[in-house]
Amino acid sequence: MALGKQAAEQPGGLLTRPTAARGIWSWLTTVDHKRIGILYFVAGFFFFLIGGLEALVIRLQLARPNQALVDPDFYNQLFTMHGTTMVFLGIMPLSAAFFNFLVPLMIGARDVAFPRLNAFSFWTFLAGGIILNSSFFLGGAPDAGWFGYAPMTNTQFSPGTGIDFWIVGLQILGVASLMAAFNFIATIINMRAPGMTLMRMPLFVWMTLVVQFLVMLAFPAITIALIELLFDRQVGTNFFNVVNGGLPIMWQHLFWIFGHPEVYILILPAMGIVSEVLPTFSRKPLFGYPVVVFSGVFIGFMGFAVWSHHMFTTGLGPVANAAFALTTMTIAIPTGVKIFNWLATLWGGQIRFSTPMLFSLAFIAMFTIGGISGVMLAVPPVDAQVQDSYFVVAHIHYVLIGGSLFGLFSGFYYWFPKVTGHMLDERTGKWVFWLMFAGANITFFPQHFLGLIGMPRRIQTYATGLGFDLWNLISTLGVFVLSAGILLFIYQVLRDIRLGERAAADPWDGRTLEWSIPSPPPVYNFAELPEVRDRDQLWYQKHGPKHHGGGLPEKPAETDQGIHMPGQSWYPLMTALGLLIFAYGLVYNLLLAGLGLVAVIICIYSWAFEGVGGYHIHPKTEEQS
Amino acid sequence: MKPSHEAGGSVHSYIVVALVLAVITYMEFALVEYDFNFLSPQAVIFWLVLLSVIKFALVVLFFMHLRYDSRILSGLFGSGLVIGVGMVLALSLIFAAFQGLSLAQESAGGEAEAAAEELIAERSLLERFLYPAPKDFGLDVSPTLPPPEIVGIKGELNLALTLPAEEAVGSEAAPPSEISAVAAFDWQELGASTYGNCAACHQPTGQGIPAAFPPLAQNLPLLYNAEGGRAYLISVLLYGLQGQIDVLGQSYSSVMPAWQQLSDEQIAAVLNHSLTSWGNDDLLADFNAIEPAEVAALRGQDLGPQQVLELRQQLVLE
Amino acid sequence: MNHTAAHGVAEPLEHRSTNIPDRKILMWAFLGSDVMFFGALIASYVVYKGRSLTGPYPAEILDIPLTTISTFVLLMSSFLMVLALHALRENDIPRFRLWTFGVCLFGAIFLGFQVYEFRAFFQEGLSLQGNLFGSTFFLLTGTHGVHVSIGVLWLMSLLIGSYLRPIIRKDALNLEIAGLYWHFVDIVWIVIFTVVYLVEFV
Repeated sequence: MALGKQAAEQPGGLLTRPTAARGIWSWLTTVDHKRIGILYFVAGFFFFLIGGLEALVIRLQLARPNQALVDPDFYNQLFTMHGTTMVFLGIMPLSAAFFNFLVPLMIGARDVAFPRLNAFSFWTFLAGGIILNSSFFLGGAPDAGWFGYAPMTNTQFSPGTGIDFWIVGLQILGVASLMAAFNFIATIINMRAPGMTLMRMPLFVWMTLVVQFLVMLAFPAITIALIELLFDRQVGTNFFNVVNGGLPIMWQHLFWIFGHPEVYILILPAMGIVSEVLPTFSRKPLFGYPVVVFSGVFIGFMGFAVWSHHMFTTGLGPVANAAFALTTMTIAIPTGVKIFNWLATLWGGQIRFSTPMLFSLAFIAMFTIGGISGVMLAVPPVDAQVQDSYFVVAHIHYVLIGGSLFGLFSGFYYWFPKVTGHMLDERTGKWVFWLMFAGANITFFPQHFLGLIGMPRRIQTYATGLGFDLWNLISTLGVFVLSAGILLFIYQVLRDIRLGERAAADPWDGRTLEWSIPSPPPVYNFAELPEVRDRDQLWYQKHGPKHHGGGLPEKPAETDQGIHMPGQSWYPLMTALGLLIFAYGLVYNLLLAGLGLVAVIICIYSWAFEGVGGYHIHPKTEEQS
Repeated sequence: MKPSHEAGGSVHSYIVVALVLAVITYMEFALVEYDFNFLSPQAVIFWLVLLSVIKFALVVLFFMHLRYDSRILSGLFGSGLVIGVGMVLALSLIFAAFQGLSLAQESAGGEAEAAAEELIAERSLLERFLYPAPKDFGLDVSPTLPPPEIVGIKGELNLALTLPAEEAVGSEAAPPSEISAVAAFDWQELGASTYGNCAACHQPTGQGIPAAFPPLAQNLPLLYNAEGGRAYLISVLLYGLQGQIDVLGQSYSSVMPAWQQLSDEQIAAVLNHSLTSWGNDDLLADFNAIEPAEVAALRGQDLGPQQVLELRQQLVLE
Repeated sequence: MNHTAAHGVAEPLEHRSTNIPDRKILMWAFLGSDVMFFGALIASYVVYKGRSLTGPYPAEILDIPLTTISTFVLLMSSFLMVLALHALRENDIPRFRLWTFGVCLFGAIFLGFQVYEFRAFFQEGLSLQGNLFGSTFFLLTGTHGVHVSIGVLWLMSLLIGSYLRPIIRKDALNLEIAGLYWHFVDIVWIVIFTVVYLVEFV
């Protein structure tokens, strides 16, 4: 790369500013949002596979009655880690991969507002994933379920270190998510291209913004709950200690005040992706854009007012149950509005059934099924019947696999050409889709029946003759179909990333700004900042009347300095490493924790004094030379 | 030149705000430290909250200069404020809707009584909706306590753990001294409703859950019939029980929490209820209802759950 | 070493959609989030209020006159904070240093009161483990104390930094952001003072 670099003078720090352009060092010190997005995807997909493997063992154990493939203790660890991994280490980072790669491209920016903080978020997330998964090898993984209800998590019932790993792992992941949330809020508020008003932002960016607000406001609740639990376990406080008057139910409240917005943190990015894919492949603008935006915002806000529907059977009393049932059903309204907007987008469009489109269509169907079983669960008497049964398991998997995961896969097939510069083969892609679609439905639809006939969730095995046998067997067979789809997907990606057909800048006839630049995008994204006159800016540039939208944007100040690129840095990685040491210290040895804390403080100061740094690029002069 | 983003007020305005803050802090101090007879406790709390809201707003608007700054920043902070305050209020409501009641009753004077009546009037709206028939306010002040049949539907582990809120209030609102005036101890209804605390673990049927929570059916009469069993049962409720025990041929190793926050009447009533339900009454040698006074006599011994276990080991069971 | 060199490259002249600096948005987003942190802690305190099975109970050991003084000190540190920012914006460096030092001093006095208070409570038998009041009280006020300590460290760093390299009025943004944090710590205390201390004695 013959980039016009201006070597920046650096004040002495602990570490010299890294400048490696390729190789492992360049990835470890990168601050480029596109590279961080790829890192998020790779790490997130790796953890997703681990979580999938855990699920596979769970299903194998349940395939036949009275099996003993894994013992009950290990089974507890498996389902706890499966839930925790898929939520915090699978779907969240996969969504973050899309935020990172796409948001700056879609709003016409050259990076996020805080590139080093962005890198820090990734490395911290990785540290959290390592802490959680290392617990398997360090005396047993957490085993109290992914929502860790008190008093199961206290030292009496969970004497091992598993729960401690769970606590510190989630805390570290919370730090990562919060930092990313602040970063993206600043980015979306402040770095939109000239003329990109809020109501001209692509839907995916809108949903990203809502998700960041949810993270910002929801994670504190679980952070405090986890601190209280950690104090209960390690200091002997009484927050959830019944003997001294503590209320285990308080844990549930704090957890679900976080936990329900978390569900929207998982689904809204997928909704954003689908809202980008459907118009492109229907060759129509999104139907009722403002309504889709506002229903997304409303879902986000109401997400904070429904938490107790996870606790209908805990004796809140009829008034609280009725109130939370009402708020929960209210959320179904904006969600339904979105579904009808997507359907109306399809109506009368010139539909192309490419792989991304297939995943998006499957998203609508399966998310609707999951949504409707959700409304059923919002009715307290129904919930009292099926709560803690496989009906709930079927519901969350329809929402999280049929919803979140299919949305993410749709996005992956859609933007893969942009990320890598290669097309994914359509024929293989369709095979992947049909395998995954069939697999997900064969696996999870029978679980509705299992729940209704009374199979409780989280049981290690069951007796024969209860009517569970057939449906469990079918469900386990479905997992193999789903796994075949995932394996084919991995094979396809590894093959097409090298051998796939070269992708043009705009292979799908897209609508948003990322399709206006080469695939893969250059490090500076936009040689010239785009000027935005309309929603679906690129579409109107290509097909629409000239000056379709009003409001001529102000010209950005021209600089002859070239494009400023932020400098790479060691400190995000080093700070995350300090946090990793700190976290292990909290589990094992406070001295070690102190050491980690000192490392973090040193890194923060060095980080502050390092400055943004960087160099300048002159894309135009390069083209000429 | 002043960059457009540098919002802020004048030094003069800062001094005024600081003075107001100082005065308000003194007013708060005075409200609490000096006796203002003409103000009811509710009014004092109202003024304290209002004054601190004013202080809060002054610092945010002037010192953090949100008043002069972009609305986007107000939105960022406001979103946290709205949802944070909503969360605190909702949780307080769910857990402690009736704490103000006990507060009002404890304070002496006609005003407090009037205030309590006010609260009753407020409450009765809710209560009328839930329970058409008026309730005796003196003894059972827990309108959110679900009737037993609802408890029966919810076989949920955490049920018991949500309830002490109302129970605690119940005990405060009905101190033993007032109740002892009642001639005959009428425990039937109180016992059944108090059992809502127990049903989550011991189940509405009294059968418990094998290997996790011991049954009360068939088990309690054995304990009651043994010498000292009466006092032992009361001690279990007052001080909890922890450690390995054998019940009807099955071994249990769990924790029974202490229920000191229940009133003497409630403890006596729930024991009588359990001793006479599920066919237990047929197994009793002879049954004399446990009186609240017996519970009161055993309070204050400061036993631990392990010591209660020792008490149990001393019992000679048939 | 001049200022430009310290930052590697001159402040990037990049397009922004609003005239709010990125870092200020970051700080306000953090404060919005921090409201929720303290909200959860205060909710824990309020829910557990009056549920302690054993003493010491709040009304027995909390001391209003002492805490009123420390509250006053913290409020006045906020006042000094705005004066410091004003001085820096007016390029009045000596005053900026004086007022910033004052903020740090008042913050340290507040922390001193808190240490004294904690010690006294320990001696009267209140502990993290003893009862619910101890657990919730120490976690809530302790978290606030940690916030104050971080604020003091931050402002000290800015103050010391102003001696190490020339401070110019462009650095006012650094001070403004630290100041926002400081005021936030102050308003959290306003809430704690009312919810934990004052209401107890009505």
